[in-house]
Amino acid sequence: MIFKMESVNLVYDIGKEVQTFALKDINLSLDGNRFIGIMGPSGSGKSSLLYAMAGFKIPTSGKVCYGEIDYNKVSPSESAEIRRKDFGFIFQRHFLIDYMTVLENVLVPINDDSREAKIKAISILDKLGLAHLTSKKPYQLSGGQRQRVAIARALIGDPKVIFADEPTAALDHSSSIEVMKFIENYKKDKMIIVVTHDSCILQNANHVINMLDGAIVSIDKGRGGI
Amino acid sequence: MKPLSTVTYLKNNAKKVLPGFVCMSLGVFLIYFFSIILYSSIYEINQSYLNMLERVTSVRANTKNPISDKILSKIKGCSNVECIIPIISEIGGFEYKSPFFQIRTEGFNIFEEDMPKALKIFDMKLVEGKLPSPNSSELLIPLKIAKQNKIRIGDYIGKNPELNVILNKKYKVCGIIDGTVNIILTTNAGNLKREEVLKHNLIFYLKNNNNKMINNELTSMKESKVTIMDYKSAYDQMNEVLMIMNSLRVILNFIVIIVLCISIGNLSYILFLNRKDEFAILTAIGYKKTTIYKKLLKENIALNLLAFIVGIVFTIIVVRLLNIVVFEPKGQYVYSFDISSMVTAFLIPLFVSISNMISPLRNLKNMDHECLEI
Amino acid sequence: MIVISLIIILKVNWIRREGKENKYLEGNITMKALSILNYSRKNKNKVVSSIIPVLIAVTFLYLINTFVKSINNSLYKLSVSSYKYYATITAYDNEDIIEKVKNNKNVERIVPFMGYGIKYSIPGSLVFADVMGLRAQDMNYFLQKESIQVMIGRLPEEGKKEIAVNYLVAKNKKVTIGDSVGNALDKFDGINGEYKIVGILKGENMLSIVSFNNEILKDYDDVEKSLQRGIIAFPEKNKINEVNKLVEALPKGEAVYNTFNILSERFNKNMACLELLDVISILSIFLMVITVGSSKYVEFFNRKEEIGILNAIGYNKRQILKRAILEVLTVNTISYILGLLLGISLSYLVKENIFEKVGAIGVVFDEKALLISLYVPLFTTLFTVVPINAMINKLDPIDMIENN
Repeated sequence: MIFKMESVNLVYDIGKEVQTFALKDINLSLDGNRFIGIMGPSGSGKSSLLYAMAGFKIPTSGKVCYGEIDYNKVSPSESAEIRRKDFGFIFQRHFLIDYMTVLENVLVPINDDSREAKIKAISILDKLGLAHLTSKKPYQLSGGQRQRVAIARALIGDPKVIFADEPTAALDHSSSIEVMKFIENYKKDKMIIVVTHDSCILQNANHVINMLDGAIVSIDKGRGGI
Repeated sequence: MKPLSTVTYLKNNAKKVLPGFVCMSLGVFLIYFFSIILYSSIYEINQSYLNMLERVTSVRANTKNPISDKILSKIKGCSNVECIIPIISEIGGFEYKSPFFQIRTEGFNIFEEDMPKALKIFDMKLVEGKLPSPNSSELLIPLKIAKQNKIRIGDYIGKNPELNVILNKKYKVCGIIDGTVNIILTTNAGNLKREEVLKHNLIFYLKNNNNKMINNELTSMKESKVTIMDYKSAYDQMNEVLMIMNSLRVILNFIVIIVLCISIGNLSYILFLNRKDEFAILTAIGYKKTTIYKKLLKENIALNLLAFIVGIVFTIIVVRLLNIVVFEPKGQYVYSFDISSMVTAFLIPLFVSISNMISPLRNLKNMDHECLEI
Repeated sequence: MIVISLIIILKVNWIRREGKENKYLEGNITMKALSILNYSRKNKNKVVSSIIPVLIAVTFLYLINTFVKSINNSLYKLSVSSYKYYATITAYDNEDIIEKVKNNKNVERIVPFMGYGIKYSIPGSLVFADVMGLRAQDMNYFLQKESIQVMIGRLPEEGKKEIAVNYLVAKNKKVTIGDSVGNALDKFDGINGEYKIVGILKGENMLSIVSFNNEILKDYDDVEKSLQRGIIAFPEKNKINEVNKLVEALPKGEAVYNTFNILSERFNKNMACLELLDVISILSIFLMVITVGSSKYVEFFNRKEEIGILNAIGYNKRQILKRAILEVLTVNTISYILGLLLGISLSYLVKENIFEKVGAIGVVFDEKALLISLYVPLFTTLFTVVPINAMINKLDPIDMIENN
């Protein structure tokens, strides 16, 4: 079991007038190298599920385990270590560092400037069709190119799990398809978790978790959609 | 270079950090410049006044009556006194101008046999011309004063206020001396006997300069008809005046620090805010908050240190140029290198670095992953 | 600046009044959304941190300049002002010079004197206050010509070791009637022995008087002391300029000539060493302007979004620029006024506690100080407005919106 969640509740703004129940009594276990999608409308808690799994947010109650590690029992810096070693992240906004070149941005998670690291980065960028842009800065790229650089950055550390939160929301249709095709290539070696409200990009997912109002409604095998 | 290294950051953001860098360098320049000019002025005043008293003590009768035998025998009898030079008369003096102050240098009429002794005591060397011949109204003047007033060997000086000199009669400049004490010497003894002169005005030199007990003993005798001028009383007197200039320096430093802390603090806080996304993604990727703190700190310190060095180097260059163009023709000199001034200037990058880090650190602490959401 | 601050005050009042008329807000004071007051209210920190550096700079420059002027005025009164009514010739060996002056038709009277000094120490300066040794028969004439009055006590008697001290000099030495001065008591005094104070003098200058006693008479005849011996040449009514010209024309190198012109020139030359403080002032202004200006500019740069939206909504560039200039101008005017107030208060404190306490003259209001301290807000405004103007002109609202 890579991920195991038991009776997880995540509540925001505790103590304030209006509390938000982002996750309600989630029980879930995920394992294996596969492509998993999390779907749902806006406010359904899908991003919160991703944050809980990645260790960004400690649940208000319940247990989230990654392998043998219980997030409740480790310190924030240990949890950061886990993220650096085992996880890769792709967000809707690319979050590239504007003053670094494409190559430097890709190398940020490993902070290595050795020849081997550079060669590895360039080979990943090459697969993404960006090898000719290594010395450009983010503002010189198009939206699709920037997101692909973000993907390369997520892959440089050979993560075991790739988390993608609405990776194609800011892209046009053809770029979205390209990006998803590339991510899907890795489903045999890694666990890929993609959060989205767009069912089209989950066509090749192994499983799709449907969420509504903070709870898991159903888990579909194969094609996505309710 | 590693992507998260300080060099990468500074290289890629040179334009953005330039304003803060320039301000810091200018601030350092201002403080260091003011400090070393002050330091040099004080040094030159010492040369004209305190340095002499550091080596000798002057004992002079206030009235026509001679110095009491008690004092004379005390001085003659002290084992620490190496030599005693009788002063026949004080002949007037020069006004020497340093960048910030000006001070009067006295001239002494001494016996011919004491002339080489005096030069040795005051550590002065004859750089041009010859020693004055006895009873010929010839004068030795220090190099700095010759330069400042453009006086050469063979010139006659007497009551020349335009040359900043007023002497009791006309003298011919026969030699120029240089060293750590600005002093003017002549020898016109006439028929006066050494023992007689000794009873009215003398200076004495100690073998062991660290043991100044004889000065304290003489002062404690409280002879009102005799003036005993030693280093300590002159130093205390000078200090009163110099204190104000030093206070000014401290106040200026303080003000520059406050203004720079606020303004550069503003600038770097804004730069920090513009990097919030960068820090958010670094935290998400898995870098610990302490790693990010350290990165920020290293960048801050590297930049400020660099600005400090640039400021100091710039000041040294400017001062050297000013020396050649402005000061040396006036017989003045400003030292371009002084450790205590550098330390004073160093306080600026120190305090600015510290105040720069407070807001960003507080901000980083509270930063959460919410900023990763849309 | 004063006119502008008046305009601002009037505008603020008008805004307030307008708000009170709006019944919908049920008594809440409102102001225009884009007014400066609104911005200041919501961004107190930023505004305060913009005002403080300029305020400090203005205060500091004002204070430095009044400080220097105080030293200046004190030393002027000490060394130059007495020469408004006479000229002196000292250290003469040749009696012919004296005869020539005595016989000149513009010279009313020649008064012989011996010049001594007592220590006068003020911040930044350690000098001698002149002590005139006069004959009893000349004393009253001297006092009358120099407009000096005996405030307390009396003049020194002939033959006695007594002194009448100027009240500022007395304050400096912290002495009064009954105390004594002289190098028997303070080794830095320039008069031998011990002189009892019997009178306090007051006048336009800081002269003190002793009479020709035995010691001084001996000094008068002593060749060794020739540097201190001299004569004062008092002119006929309104003939001071002629007497000055006469003295200045006497052969150089034969004696030391002091007239008002010579001493003023020398005084100005000596005070020129304080020019260095002017250089420091200019450098400080430069530093402040760059620092504060760039800080404000960056602040505006960060509000590009706000400006872009305003532009997109329909405010034209001129209106936006006007708002920006008004903001910068307001901040700088407030800083200047506050800085000036603080500077004047501090100058007053310095005058009372540092200068007047030691019998010197303190300056509180000075034109040069006002002007120099004005340069900081002036140039800061300029240095900020010009780049902001450039930035606003280059603005493209669509770029702004799409980038974010």
